[in-house]
Amino acid sequence: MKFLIALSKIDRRVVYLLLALAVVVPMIVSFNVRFHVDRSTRDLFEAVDRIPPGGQPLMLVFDYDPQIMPELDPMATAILRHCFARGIRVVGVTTGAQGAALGERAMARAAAEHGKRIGEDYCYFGYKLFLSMIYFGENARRALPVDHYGRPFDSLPMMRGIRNYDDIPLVIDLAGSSILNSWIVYMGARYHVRLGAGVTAVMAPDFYQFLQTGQLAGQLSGMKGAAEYEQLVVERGYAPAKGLASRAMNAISASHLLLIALIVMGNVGYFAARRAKPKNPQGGA
Amino acid sequence: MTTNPWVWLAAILTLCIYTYLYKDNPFYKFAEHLFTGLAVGFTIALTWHNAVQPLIIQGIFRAHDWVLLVPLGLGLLFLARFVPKVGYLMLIPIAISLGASSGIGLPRSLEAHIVKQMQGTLLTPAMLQHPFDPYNGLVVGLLVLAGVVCTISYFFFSREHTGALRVSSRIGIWFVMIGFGASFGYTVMARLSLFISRMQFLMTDWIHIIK
Repeated sequence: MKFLIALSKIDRRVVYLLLALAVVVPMIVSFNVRFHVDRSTRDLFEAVDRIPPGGQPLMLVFDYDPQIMPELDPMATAILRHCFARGIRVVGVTTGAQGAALGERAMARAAAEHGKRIGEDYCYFGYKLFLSMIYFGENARRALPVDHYGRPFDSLPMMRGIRNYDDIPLVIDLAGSSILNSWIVYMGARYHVRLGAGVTAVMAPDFYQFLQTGQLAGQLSGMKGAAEYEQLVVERGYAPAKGLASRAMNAISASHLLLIALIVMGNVGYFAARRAKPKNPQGGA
Repeated sequence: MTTNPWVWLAAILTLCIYTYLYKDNPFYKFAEHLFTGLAVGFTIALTWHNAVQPLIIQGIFRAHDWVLLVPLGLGLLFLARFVPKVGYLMLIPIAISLGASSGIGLPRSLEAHIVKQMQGTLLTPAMLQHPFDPYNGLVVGLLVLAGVVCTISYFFFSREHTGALRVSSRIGIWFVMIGFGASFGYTVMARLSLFISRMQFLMTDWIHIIK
């Protein structure tokens, strides 16, 4: 009984150590955990895949910052690899200041891998105010007068013919905040923009409702969503190998098993301690 | 191990942050304050180069778009709060922002969050075609309908929860608990993802244990 009670009183530093081991060991000792590709991921993949190569561009919005980069950066990389391998043009932008450098890095890296040229195959407008992105629905040229590098809108060949959201077949917002709600309200409801989303796992349950109503074409949820997208990109032959998120899935599985075990042990210890408590003969607490 | 000084700096700052797991200490405080300062400085510089310069300065002085003086003037009124005598002027841009955003956002918000969601809760004959579809199948439709009705009944406080209302509110609280459980599970995965990514960085980019 004492052993069972002790299970609910494990020092938090021991828990941290166990967790560190559960994360590090699966990275060193490689094994493959199979995982199911969720329908929301598949729907987003198909929505991207349906965009005709060399035609109207997809808009990728990097609404995340370094704190949540581990979940959303692999999504950006997987989507960009998919687009560039298929010949889909991409317009990058962010409405969060800290996302500007992350978006630039992700786009430049994926473009270099596929030999894509800025201005012709992709454009990056960097940090723009959310109001500018609303105004994009009225007049793209005035909303984004210059790109991230100071080049005027009209000097970018692939932006010729882009008047507003009518010329953007899909907007994917990679968001780590409630800004996605604003995209759904303003761009989705007002301009009828076809929206897709990549969100942190914390946010994922809040946005599933928009999948059922069709307000989101698809959704990637946390690192697992990124790993699922990477898997689809490899399966369809758009990339030779999976990325960072897929490699992290082993560690996620191992650490989840550890946490489940700890929760069960904590509960066993709690109930054991309750049973061991001397009962008040008068029935009070 | 890497010889790249920037990777070393990032690795040391990561370890400084994780020292908090033992207890609060000056290394953690240093890294935390450094990050906050950098983030604020970065945001100010980026806002200047991406918003103030192209939209305001170039718009007014190069394109001679004089209408921009109006939002510029309104924006400057925010600074009135630093002068107590005219501090009330700050209320003007706040009132305009609130009014405009409510006017633009309310109808769309109602459409996106209420009308569309109510439509999503309704049962339609099309659901019979694919009864087990995870989004628009009959089974999911019935579950969503039951969940919405029972959960709302739990938050209906104008009548005592007895009889049928007691049953539905009890079922409603189960739906709420399952929702909280799903959110907690996702939150655990999110936090672990951040930790795993840092570990990947330390072991791959810094000490090169993993290729």
